[in-house]
Amino acid sequence: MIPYLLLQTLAVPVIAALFILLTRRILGRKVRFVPCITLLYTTALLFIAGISVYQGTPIQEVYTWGPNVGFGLLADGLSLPVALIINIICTALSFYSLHYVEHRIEVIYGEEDEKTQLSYHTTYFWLYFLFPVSFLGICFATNLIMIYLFIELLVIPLYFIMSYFGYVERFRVAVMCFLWGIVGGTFVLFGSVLAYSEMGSFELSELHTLAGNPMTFWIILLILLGLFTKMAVFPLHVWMPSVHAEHPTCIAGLLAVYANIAAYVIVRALILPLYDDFKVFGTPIMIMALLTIIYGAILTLAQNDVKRLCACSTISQISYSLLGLGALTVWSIEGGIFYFLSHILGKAILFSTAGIVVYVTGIRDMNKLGGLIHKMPISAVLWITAAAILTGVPLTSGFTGKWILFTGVFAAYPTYVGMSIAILGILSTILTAIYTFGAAKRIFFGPLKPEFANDTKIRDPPLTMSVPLLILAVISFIIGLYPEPFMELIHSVIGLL
Amino acid sequence: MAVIESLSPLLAISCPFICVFLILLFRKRPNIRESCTMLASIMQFLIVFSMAPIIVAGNVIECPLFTIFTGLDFIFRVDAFGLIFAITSSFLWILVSSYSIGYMRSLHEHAQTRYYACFALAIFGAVGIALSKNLITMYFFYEALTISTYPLVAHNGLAEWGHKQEQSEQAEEARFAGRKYLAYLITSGWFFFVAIVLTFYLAGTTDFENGGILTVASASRMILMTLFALFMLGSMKAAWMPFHSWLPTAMAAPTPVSALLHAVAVVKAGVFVVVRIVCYIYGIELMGAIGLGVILVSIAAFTMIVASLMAIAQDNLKKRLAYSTISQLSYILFGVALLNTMGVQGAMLHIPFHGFMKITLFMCAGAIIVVTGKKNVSEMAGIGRTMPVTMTAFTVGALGMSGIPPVCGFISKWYLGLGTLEAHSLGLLAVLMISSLLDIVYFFPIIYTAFFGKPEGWTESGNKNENTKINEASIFMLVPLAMTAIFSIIFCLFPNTFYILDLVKLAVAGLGGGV
Repeated sequence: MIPYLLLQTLAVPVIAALFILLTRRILGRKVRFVPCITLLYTTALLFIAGISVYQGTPIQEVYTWGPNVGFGLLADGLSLPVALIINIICTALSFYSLHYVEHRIEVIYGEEDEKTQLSYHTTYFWLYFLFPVSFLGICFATNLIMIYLFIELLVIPLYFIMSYFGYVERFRVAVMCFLWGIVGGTFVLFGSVLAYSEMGSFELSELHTLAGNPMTFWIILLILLGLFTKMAVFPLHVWMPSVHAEHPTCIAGLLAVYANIAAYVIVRALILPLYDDFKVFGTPIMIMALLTIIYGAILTLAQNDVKRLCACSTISQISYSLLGLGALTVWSIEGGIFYFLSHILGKAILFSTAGIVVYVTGIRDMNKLGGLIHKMPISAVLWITAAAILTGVPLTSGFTGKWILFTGVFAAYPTYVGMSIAILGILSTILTAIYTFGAAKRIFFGPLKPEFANDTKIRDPPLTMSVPLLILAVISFIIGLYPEPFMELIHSVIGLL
Repeated sequence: MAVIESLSPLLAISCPFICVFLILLFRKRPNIRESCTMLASIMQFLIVFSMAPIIVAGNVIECPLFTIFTGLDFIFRVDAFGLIFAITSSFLWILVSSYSIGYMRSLHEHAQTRYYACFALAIFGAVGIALSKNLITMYFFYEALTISTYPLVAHNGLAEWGHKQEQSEQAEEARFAGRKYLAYLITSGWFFFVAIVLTFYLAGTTDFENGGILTVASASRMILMTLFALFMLGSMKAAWMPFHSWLPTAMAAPTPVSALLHAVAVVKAGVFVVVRIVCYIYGIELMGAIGLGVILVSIAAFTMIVASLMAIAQDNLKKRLAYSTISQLSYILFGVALLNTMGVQGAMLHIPFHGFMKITLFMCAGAIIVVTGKKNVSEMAGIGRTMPVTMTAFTVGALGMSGIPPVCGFISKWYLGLGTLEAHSLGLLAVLMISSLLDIVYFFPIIYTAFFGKPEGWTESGNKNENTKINEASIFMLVPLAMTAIFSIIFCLFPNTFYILDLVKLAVAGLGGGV
């Protein structure tokens, strides 16, 4: 076994980030390959960890950090699949960034001199490392304070990348993103500190001692409030459409992860240790989730801007996971996690394809697009695949996720309320089909706009942009057709409930 | 009853599937492209038919493909009832393919490659539905069928790949028909999926079993009724009222597509699903116990009468046939809803028999369009003189529809009638009789106009001019429509052709329970 395996997955990207900072003058534009190589390495490490966990030995590493605060890393059946998929998405998007960032810098800072451009270039790539580090940190964390720290850490690269490379009104949106992120994180902190005051420890493994404690209700409520802000649950979704849409598209896929990873935190920190106390929240969560699903979908249907469309769709997609978590049965929780993974895969492809469209044509308004399939077949295939994954067309991971999720949800409440929530939940996926495939029709099908007909620049993007996304699509099909390893891993933890 | 593992179902499914790729591959060479379709259809029929003796001997063929997750098994199983539908659709595919060649070439239609590819895909869906072992597999093919028929329905409105869209009124109508078709059937597919998940939750499986998988103990009566409502909404393909309006609109499609839609694939898949649900998910006994039979029979009776009445008002021949289909499909629902041996037997027989008769009628309507360009009944005066073969075939089909011997519609209606008596309901028998009478009311004027009406330019002296010369459609179209007409008669005289009667009896005997 490789020593310090889990620590490496966190530390190596940090070291690589420092490396970029130090050598940016020497390496110049070549630094952009550092994230790709580093993340390929950590993905390989996670694969090795995955094999070990699959064979039945969870990996735990404990380091001391300060008095009362340990620094533990735990890769078990729940955290590892999540971490692995997230890391793969980060890797894919680091390849995708290679051309995209260059294009973005050219658009925004094209008039600056070479040196300034170079400094923006390096800034992006070292900031990029903070994403995988924070995501993996949240996944592997063993105490509440670590989770809080990594959640807050995520906001930093988001803020800077937004204000350096974002789209319309980028400074205002960056501040908005920062404030909402901090507020959400602060609620998590309140909850964690409250938990500490009750049990004298931040460790997740001791959280179960709080079961039955009257304060537990408030602890759960505070942490949930914070996480709902991240997950953009109605009515806390206000930040999502602008922040998600105006980000440079190369990290937009990561923003979906940023929002959706809260689902993992809910399972890890609240449902697993405090199952009985969490039951009170079950039905309200399901109702909120259903509202958000429908509201988000209707919001998405109203969009003409291709990036905003993807952004709004995240609101409703995240709530499917939340619906599963609220139902609190083994299958529904497993389904919620599986759907989360399927969603981030699908959304990364969908959003990045939207990015490709914007990169190639420079147009965001879907009414001005049309017929692009004749010029950009690969992008059209990518978009349709993503739409299929998000909608849950049979044989994709979305379908399997939907199946597991909703059989669980049906089992939760054999009453009319529960049954109607479940039925409405499945039926509302038809809205997903309408907006994803409808957008495909508006962008890629129909007659080709005459102004594109003779434009040689309108063609499929360079391979570094399309191939990573195709690989993500293949992964989605693999876990859709053969979910057993994943489900066995997840079941090894959640099945204990 | 032995279960035989065999790859035949998979082979049967893969014929049209591989054919799709061959069609796309040979898109530049129409002759090879069309021979691929013909070859695949013949092969598929032979494979499907080769399974019949095994099934008739009382065996069941299974072919497990793969399992994704608990409950998500993709598995084929050929039982007697599924085989009836599979034989019907694969046999009619051969004839419709030949007919399509004649039709599409005579009218110089655009985008023929897309047309043939989608056609093969639709058959893939239909036969897949027939051979599925559980609801999940069926759902997959059900959706495949919906999506693959969309380009066919909207054919006249969708431009060839890379060409500009046509802006004519006809094209707009076709696009509207396509949109309506998708809106109804995709929504319906979603309801079907909800129903499947709920069934899996209630029963723990989605396999079709003789006698049903749900019991009174599975859930409360209200939930079972809700589930049935979801299933019915999921089978809008069966065009029961008030969810029928996509079908007449879809007549904007080329005629072979209408024939496929009405006789072979889409609507038959809808009623097939209903029969599967009534007999193999709920089971006859449960249906009776919670009073669902009465609800279904009322829906069916309502549709039979109202659709027939609406058919009378249509002047457009294809639209009239469409309403006739809506009414005839409800005969099948009606028979199943009677919940007794004779009724179910009549319903199961009506699936292939109605298929053969209705396809004859549609192919005749298409032949008339190709030769004369006439679409309305009122313009068809004297057409029987110029197109004797076509109109004779049409007459055979129309007689069958009204249940007059010696055409096979008689047999299925006979059993349906016996079913109503077995259910001790003279009221239902009356519904059946009135509906058959209405069939005569809307079909016979067509026959009368065609043979006895006076064409334009007809003079009393009887001298032959241009309008009275024999002018039939091409042989590619004429042979299939004559064949289906002949088969409609053969099925009446020898109902066991293609083992149909044996299979139906076997299927009904297996239902057990209250039957």
